[in-house]
Amino acid sequence: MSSPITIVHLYAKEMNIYGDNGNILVLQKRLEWRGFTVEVVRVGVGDSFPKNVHIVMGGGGQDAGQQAIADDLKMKQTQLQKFADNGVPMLMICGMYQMFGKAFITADNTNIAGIGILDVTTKAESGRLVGNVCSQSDYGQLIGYENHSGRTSLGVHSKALGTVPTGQGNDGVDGTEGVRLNNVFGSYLHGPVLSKSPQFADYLLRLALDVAGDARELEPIDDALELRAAKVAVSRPR
Amino acid sequence: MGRRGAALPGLVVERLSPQFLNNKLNELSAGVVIVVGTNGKTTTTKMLSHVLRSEYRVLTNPTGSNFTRGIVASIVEHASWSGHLPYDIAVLELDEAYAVKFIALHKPRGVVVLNVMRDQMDRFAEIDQTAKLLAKVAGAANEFVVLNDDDSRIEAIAEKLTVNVVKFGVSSSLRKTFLQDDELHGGVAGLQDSQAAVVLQKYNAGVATYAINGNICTVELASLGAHNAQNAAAVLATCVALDTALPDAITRLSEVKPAFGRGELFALNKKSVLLQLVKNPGGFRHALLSAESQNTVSTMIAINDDYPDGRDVSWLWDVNFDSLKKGTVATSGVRAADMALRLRYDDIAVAIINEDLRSSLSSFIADLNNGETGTIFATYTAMLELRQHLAKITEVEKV
Repeated sequence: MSSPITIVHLYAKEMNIYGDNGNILVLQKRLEWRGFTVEVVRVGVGDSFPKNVHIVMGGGGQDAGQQAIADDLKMKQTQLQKFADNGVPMLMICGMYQMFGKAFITADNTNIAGIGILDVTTKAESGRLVGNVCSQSDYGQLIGYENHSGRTSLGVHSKALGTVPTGQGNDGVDGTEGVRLNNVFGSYLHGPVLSKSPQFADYLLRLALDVAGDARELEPIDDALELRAAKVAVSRPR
Repeated sequence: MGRRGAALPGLVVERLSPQFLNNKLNELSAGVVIVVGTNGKTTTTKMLSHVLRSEYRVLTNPTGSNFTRGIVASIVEHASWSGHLPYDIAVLELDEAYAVKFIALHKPRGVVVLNVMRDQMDRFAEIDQTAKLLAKVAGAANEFVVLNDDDSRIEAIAEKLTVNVVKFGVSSSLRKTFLQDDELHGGVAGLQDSQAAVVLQKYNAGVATYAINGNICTVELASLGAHNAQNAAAVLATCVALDTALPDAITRLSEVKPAFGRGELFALNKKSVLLQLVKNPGGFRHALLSAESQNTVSTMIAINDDYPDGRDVSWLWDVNFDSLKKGTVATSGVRAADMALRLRYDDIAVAIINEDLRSSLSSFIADLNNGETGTIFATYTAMLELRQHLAKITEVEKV
């Protein structure tokens, strides 16, 4: 048997407010159903990374959760940057997306540095962007639910993950949602996004297998249920 | 003034006299007790109202119409023609957002704070924000506050209070059953016996053992599930605060039937259906534990995503459904496919996915064996609709 694919879940306790742990479950099951062995490693405050890291996942949290992990995340910055440079895929949702950026500018204009793995900057605003989202991406339709007050703008080196109608997404204005830099992805979509965006889930898994040096194919899975749920979500009011 | 109806008379009176609510509630000799928290409000309010009826004439809002306007309407409806309120005490459940509006109009005698969990985040955004609202509401109490000792966000409210604080809690052996929000993904932090005035010591199949200021008593509850034994602990703590005769309270607690759609049992010839509202991960978790302890085989889960349900269905992924592997599951409601999808990733195959609630209910009942009780978990609007359909085929308590 070949060695397991290791999924690292960053701050599962503090940054896990809207069912984002579902993304980890989706990745795990979609590998296991295809005969792969999977190891999910929770890396929290004070924990070190396991020897092999093939994909890194992070979710959204409350303000208190973000404060609780901020110092620890800074200590993990060098290691995470190394993973990113080596092509390790990462998907950071909402709060972790913001913290992977260059900075978060609070309502009173205080500049809080992020770890800068993603070339984005987020500014606090009063109104929240809340609702169902269907984003068009290179990896198929991304279906989820956004709920954030931060407005994120993309730096010159960044490519949006997808496009959305105005009033949604990164800043509610420019029609972009999320970001991709190398194999690091950021997005505001809860849902959890991978549950109703199976093509994107498999794309991330392919990247993870490449990092692991595992050349096995990802056999097709019957995604009729995923697509049925996605179709319903698209039909619902915002 | 019309004496029936929901919000309209309340709206009229509220506009005519903003002081109406306060004036009327001040007539109550034993004051107002409000019940707040994420889960258990309706059941706790029903239990507390029933228990207090041994000593008081109790005004309550049993349908969970927890807008201040709904309460004004309820007062208009219940006042005599002279306008006098024929009650001694009011027990009102309030949504945290409305509770804040309510305390601006009237300062209650007591506040019961049950818990704070992730719930309808599209409306409330943050648990810590909700906890702040609850602290504000508790701070308005004139005489006492009842707090959950096992929910650190709630327990912390005590620090800033100057009124009498009575806590309820559970023993260390039960602590894993009553996770607070942060423990849903992180496990239980510390395991200590609660030092609260009322401690739930043991729970098994409806039989709850409490220590009330050290005195042990056992109650057989008609509302099944450990979460309801915890709600009953909150009721007993409120009785301590109100200095209600406890032997009476304990007898009366055992008489309380489940509230509207909260573990409500419907008899259907030789079969029965238990209807259980689910609206957030903490509540769903408790509902599943309760169903598992009753060896439920047939389950239906109905998920809608209208505003009262919460538009965001992400929360279903914060619930572990492993206990449903033993039986059969059907899903229904607008998000029937989403629910089935969630179960797929817990390796549970869903027998029937049918968005239509009425036909789902019919086939669910038809497929039950004689003597079997099927459990239906439903979000708020799905629960209301299913209850209407059930009313056409069996006797349903009017609320």
